[in-house]
Amino acid sequence: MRHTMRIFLLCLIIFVSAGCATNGQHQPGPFQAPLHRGLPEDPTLERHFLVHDPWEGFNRNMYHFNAQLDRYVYLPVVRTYEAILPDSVQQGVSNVFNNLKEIPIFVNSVLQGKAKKASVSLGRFVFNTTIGLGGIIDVLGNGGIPQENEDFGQTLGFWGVPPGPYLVLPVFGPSGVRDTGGVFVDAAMTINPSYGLFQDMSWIARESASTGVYGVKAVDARHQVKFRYYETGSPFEYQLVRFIYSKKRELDIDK
Amino acid sequence: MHRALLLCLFVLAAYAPASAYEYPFKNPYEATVLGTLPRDEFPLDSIRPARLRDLNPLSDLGTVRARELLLHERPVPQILWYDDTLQYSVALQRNVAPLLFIIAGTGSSYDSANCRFLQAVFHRAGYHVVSLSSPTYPNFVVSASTTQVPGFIPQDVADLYQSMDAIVNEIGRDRISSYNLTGYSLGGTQSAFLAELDTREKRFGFDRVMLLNPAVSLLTSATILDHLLSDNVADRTEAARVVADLVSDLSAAYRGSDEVNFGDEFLFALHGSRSISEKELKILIGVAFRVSLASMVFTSDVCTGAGYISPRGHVIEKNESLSPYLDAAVGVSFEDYVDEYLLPFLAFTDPAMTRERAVAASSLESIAPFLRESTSIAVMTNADDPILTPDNLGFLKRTFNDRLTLYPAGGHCGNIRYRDNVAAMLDFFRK
Repeated sequence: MRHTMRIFLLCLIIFVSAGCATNGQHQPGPFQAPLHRGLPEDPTLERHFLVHDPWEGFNRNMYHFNAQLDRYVYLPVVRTYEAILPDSVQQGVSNVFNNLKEIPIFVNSVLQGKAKKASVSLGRFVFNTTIGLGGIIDVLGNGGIPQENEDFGQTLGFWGVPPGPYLVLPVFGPSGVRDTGGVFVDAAMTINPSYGLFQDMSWIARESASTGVYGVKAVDARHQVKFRYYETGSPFEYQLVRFIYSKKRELDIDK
Repeated sequence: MHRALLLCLFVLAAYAPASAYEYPFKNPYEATVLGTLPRDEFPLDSIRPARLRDLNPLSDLGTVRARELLLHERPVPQILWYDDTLQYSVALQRNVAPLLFIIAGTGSSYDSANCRFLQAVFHRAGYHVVSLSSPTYPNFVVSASTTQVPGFIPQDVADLYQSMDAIVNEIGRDRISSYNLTGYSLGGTQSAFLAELDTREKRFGFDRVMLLNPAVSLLTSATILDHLLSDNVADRTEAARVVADLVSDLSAAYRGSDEVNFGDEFLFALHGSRSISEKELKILIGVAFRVSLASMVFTSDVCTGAGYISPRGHVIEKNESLSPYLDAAVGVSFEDYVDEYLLPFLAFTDPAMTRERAVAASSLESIAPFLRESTSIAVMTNADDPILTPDNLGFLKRTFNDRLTLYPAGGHCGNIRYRDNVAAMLDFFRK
């Protein structure tokens, strides 16, 4: 966790010093519409699609922050990574980190009493770690057995814990109070592969190696997520993402 | 054994009557919503299989690159900060090659499914391909529009033309052997105007231009789409409820299926198990149009500060909820937009402007003589395209004669990716 914090702070410094380019204050033009449509006191249209979001001001600030971080720091790094490494190497890196996720997936499947998912996850971990050379090759995935989707947030949801208010996390993005708790539990169950590999090295070498691993992990995580901020093109994207995230989580828990 | 059988099938297929058009959805609204299923799409491999050197990870051939370009040095409203540059995409050849521009339809981006597909097709066929968003797409409104008030075709087309010129300079004119142009829906209409503008400005000299499912008159077609909603629901609340019902049926189907993801065929699969009525399809099309219109109206209003949706003088902060603005913007039909915002704006900049003049200038009929004479411009559309009136179809037939290809089915843009259609497009541009 300390390493993640360190990288996060580093990004923050680069981000702030890069400075959001300000090109002056936007001013309204000379044209004035003859009619103002009027804003409703209590917007009703979204009622069917509404998500409990009492901290919308904070969340919108965070959404804005994440999008700027993405544009000025995170994505340029990811694009460089994608330009330098061949696709096959990128896939291998993704496979290694995904393979380590099998541990929390297995545990959460067991906690929900989902025997089939648990056995798929266990089988994937065992075969991909051995035949797949430490997870570099997703042997079972290529054979048509993809990774299951389970996490501690879903386990809580399965046992009846309500999602709680919508919450946009720094860097991680859309979440909820319940799922945020889940993220920490899952992180505790994921091993940093450098702990085993660099055990015999000096403290400095070990620390920098594991920081490096966290760095690659962070870049790979963004590389794997297809989502790009403001790609919907709509100025109302925040509402759309909020609805889709909440709906998707609700459906995942039922699966 | 299997191979021999396949060969027989191929030989048989070659002798099948050429006139049979087997696009599956005969209902135009079904076609418009469901489009082309992956199995009916034009097979990319049939143009040119990937060559060995394409597999070289260091070459960028075959890769579509998203790019951005700063066109106007002007302050951008804080909540639209991300739209300061025009976004577009290119897929380039390594050597000198012909170039094809693709203009997206109403409210769509350079990255829409149709643009992506056509980009892949023509890139494999040896073209540099540039995809551009519609001037009605928020990113274009903020970054590329001179007035930031979209919907008046002569102005939108002038802005598109400037953007295309800047993009071509970026690519390098010496890498381009000829210029070609296509666009679908409103992008088709704009392509015709672009060709006309180019005969005066002469920066490209288009070799071939193809209009796919163009609107003849922007106002007529947009009004038809307005009515799909107003004729089928009492109010916005009912429209929202119909969409919410459909979402919950989709969710139920997702819960019950083994599919991990919503695939392209998921909606189609749902359509098989729980048929979506024609009325629902009409409402869906109407809602999609209205929601993309709301994004455009709100974006334009924030840029001009005209006080149409957001109160004049009010600066929307980045932490402010946009729900009231969405609610207000979704209430605006295209006709409302024209009468309450676009026309007053045009009259403000040019006091001689009238409704008749503005509407006429946004119709293909205003450039009919040019279109009649231009043998390099062709049209591909469908007899059942819901955005065309019988009058509109008559105009297209009279104006383009044998340069009009009219398919019996396909609705509005439903068959653009269909194998026969793409084959005909390739034929036209390669001739």
